[in-house]
Amino acid sequence: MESKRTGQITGKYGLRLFTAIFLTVVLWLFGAHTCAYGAQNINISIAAGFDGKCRLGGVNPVAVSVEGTGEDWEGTLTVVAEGRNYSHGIKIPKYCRKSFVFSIPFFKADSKISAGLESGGKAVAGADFSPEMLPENSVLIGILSDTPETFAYAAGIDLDALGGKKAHVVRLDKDFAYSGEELENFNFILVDDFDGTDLAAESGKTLERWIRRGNCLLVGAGQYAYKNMKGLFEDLTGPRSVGDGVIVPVPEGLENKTPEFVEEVLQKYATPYGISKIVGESGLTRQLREVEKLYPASDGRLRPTADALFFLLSLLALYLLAAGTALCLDKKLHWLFSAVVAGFCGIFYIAALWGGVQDTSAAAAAVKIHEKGNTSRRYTLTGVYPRGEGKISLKWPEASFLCNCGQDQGVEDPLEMESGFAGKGPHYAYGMGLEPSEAAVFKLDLDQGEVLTGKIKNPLPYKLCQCFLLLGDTVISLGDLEGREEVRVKYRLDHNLRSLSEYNFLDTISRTARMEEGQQLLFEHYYYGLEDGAPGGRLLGFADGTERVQVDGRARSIRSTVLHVFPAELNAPEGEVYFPCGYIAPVPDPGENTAPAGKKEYLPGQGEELPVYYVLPPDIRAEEIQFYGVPEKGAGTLEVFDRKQGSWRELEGNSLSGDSLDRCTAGGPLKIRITGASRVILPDISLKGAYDPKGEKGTAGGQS
Amino acid sequence: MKRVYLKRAAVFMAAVLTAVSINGCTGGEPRTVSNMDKAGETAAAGVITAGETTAAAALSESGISTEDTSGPGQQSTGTGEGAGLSGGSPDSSAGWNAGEGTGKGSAAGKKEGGDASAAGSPYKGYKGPVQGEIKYQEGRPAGENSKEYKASGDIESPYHVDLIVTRDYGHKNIFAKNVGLVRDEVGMEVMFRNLDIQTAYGGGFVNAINGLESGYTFFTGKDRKKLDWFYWVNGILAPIGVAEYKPQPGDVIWWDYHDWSLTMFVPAVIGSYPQPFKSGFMGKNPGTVIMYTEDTKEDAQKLKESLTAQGVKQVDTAAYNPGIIRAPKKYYILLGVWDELSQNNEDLKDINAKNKLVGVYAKFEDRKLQALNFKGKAISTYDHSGAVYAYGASIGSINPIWLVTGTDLQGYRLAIDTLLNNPKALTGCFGAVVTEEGVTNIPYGE
Repeated sequence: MESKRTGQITGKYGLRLFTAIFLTVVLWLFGAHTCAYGAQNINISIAAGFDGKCRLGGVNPVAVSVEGTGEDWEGTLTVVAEGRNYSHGIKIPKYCRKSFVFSIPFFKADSKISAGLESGGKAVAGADFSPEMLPENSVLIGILSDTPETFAYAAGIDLDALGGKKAHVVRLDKDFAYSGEELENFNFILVDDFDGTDLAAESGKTLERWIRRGNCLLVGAGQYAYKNMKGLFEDLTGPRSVGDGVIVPVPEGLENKTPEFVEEVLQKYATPYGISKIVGESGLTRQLREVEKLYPASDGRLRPTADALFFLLSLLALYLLAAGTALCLDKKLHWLFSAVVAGFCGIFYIAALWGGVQDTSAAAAAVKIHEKGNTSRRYTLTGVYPRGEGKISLKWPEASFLCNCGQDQGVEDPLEMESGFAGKGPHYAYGMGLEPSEAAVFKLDLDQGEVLTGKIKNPLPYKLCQCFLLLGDTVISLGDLEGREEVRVKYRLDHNLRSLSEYNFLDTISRTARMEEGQQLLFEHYYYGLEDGAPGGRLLGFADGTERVQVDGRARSIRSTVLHVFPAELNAPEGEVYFPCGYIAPVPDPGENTAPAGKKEYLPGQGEELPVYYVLPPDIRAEEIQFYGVPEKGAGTLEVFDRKQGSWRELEGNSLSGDSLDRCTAGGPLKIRITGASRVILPDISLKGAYDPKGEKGTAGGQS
Repeated sequence: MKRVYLKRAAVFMAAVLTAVSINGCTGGEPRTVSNMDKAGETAAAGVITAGETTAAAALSESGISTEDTSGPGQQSTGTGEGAGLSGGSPDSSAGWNAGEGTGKGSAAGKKEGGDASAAGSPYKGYKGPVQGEIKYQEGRPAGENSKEYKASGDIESPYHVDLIVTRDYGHKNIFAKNVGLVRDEVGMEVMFRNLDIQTAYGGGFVNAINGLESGYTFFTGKDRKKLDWFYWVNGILAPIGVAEYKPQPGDVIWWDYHDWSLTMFVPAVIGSYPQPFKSGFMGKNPGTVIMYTEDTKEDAQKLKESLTAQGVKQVDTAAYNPGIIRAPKKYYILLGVWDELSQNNEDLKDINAKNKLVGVYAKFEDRKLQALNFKGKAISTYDHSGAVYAYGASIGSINPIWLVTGTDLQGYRLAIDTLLNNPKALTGCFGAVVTEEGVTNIPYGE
């Protein structure tokens, strides 16, 4: 008995001992395996920005290289910058090196970037990097050349007449693997001694889109012309307008020049968008600041539609009818009542599962800007409204940039264009993407009597609501436009927006177009966050539709409302040009002290100066410029900058013409300054002149 | 027992509300669009005339008067969070005027600020911040905590604020003085220099001013009364504690001690006119829009000119839009007869119906104006009279809407004439009823 008991005890102990040893060995092996990765099998290195320089208020590349040295490795690569977590799942085969480039926005001057590798919840390797942070409104020049050292002079470029900003120069990688958002950090790109065919097709498209957006590229047409003038720069016989930007061939070449030489060219071909990038805050900063005001527009799309309500009401009526009929039947058939109730319960249950009644809701509000060309830029705010507080992800595969809004501390995957959220919602993500566009530029005629004529066609196959045309200081309501519908315009400009304050300007547009609240928010987001001052008119209209995204890995079609913006231009009959008041937008340079009170309004203190630029199209010879909204005597002064004399003089008679005008526009944009007024509403200008493609600034190389 | 729980619940609610407010709430012939008809020119068939396509007439805006608000230099007083004030329980930050007692501008700051009167400083008599020095024992009876904290005295400074102390909804004046301000200091410092202050709930809550003590904080049972200090900056109920609020030169800081048994918060008052239109709140001014009805367009222009002359930099006029009440982005002043303003405006009707619950003490009913007391009881009823009062959606709503209205055009005229020609009559009023006899501050007290 005793021995039997002993034997039983021994058996139990044996089993326990075996289990303990087994677990110990397994844990030791697992631990040793993990340690081995951390200690030996994986290496990580990090670099960020352009030549180590990152631009504040911009999206910068953060390149992390991971090298497997022993065995295949699988885990998570995490980058932490400015308190935000960016993460991506990776697999590294043994003896392989892979580079992962995260496009990350930076806003803080003291940003430090940390990269780490994790596997099984354990950190196995890490690296830090502290890039040089360039101020938001600095001048960043990119050099694309096989011999970048010959551009050393560029560091001395001091664009005094464009805000007095010292330039920072970086060499661009030859493979040019930059995203559109990253390239937006550059104010100018200089190309010389560079084989244009070296650019991959996709890189060439990215560069072209950068120019089309409103940027300026100089290309040497001197000794290396045979090498440079290929691909995108082929057949350049003079400056060529591309979209809202310009490519300028420099016959003297760009190598070993003086800073003054390039400064002169850059000022001469500055674009409104280019100047606003130098003197103002970055587009991304503006957008992310403004996007929070857009939340209600996204939230508004969650409301049930009239169709859904009618469907549910008809289902209810059908149910009551069927149940009532079943009750009225013979007693023996009363089981039919139960069957009807059970049947409808089943229908609702299936509908709930299929329609995601208990699922996370999502909705979007977007602005789609159709560019001159066949592309459009889409800026989308997506709201995610989870039922609970768990983790949730949103993926927008077509985006080129996606980030969480506000203080949402989720994890983002910039490579998969996925945003992760945690906690109670709603959560919001803001993304940008490029899409093909069918839209063409609307061409309208305007005679000297300010009668606007032409045809405007909805280029989209679906209805656009509350359409309106913004042309200078006039807003014209067009009502709803069915898909492909054409409307003929014959309208004398009534300047209903002239010299209005910011509030009255937006209020008048909103009332004229009869916008609803969500539409108004979208328009304001466009106006404050995306509108970039390129000359010309705009056709705007709203469309309700659906958006394809992935929520928690599941493809979803979510409801969205979109503001479409199309460019509109004026024809120049017989070479004569008349741009009405407001057609050429002012670009203010408020500096650090002048308080902006909106986009059109500023509140400079007593004696403070507010410089304002007006960029005339390069292929126009201005003959007369009229100013509107000039401060009254005693309230302030308006001075114009005489570029030939390099001095300021007070504007006389509210207009400039002839030699007086030439002196102010020679070699750069028209520059004025307003002094001494407590509230400044930016003056607008009208222009009379002639189309002059071969003039001083003419784009003889043609337009595309 | 139940009453105690109810009171605790009320305090908790106030804490939650305060915390929330602190933390942030094709085919065929195309149709033609044209305005050529109005110019007498012939347009194609299907013309949409300008009347349909364009909105209100353009309003020409011009520059406004100048004012120099800048001063000669600044001095930082050291606002590190170093000092450890004895902390209260989590719900003890529940105070009508309290944020969390962070002790900014504390003892550490004092060391740095100790030589503030030295050469080069723009301030005379300034001894540095004192907030961190104030100690009190949490949870002790009122008597033990009622040690007098004497005002340390005003300073000479190039910057000033108006400090006003009243009780019973502005009906009794206690203190009113234009006092010196140190740039970047918190409001509590201004209080300590000029008034005898006792704090509670971690130091961020003003429990007593010049001996007039909260009837709630340190009392229990029958002795406990819903009487407390509240403060407004430029006529806007501050959504943060005075220990966090940094006054701007020119601000009007108004403290009032009153019964809050029925009205938890009065989000906006008119007695600091032309504030908030002139200076905004916490240095931010969204701009002012005067909205007019058909009969009041000229008044809107006159009021704009009047405000401009008083130093308001950014003021616009626009036709009345009832939609602005729900989420005001600007400061709005609505001008018009009550029936016109409230027509098709359910929000305004709702405010009128809730009146005292949302801090409004003028009620329009059957073309008559009722002036209410703080409990919402109609004390006087008037024909042909006007009212000037402010409304804010909630505590934390820092964009108030002002109404200048009346039972009829005659009553409205009384109100607008007061605002245009005799604005001083409104000074110190929470809201105002304007009759032929003059201006009456509402709500009435006991």
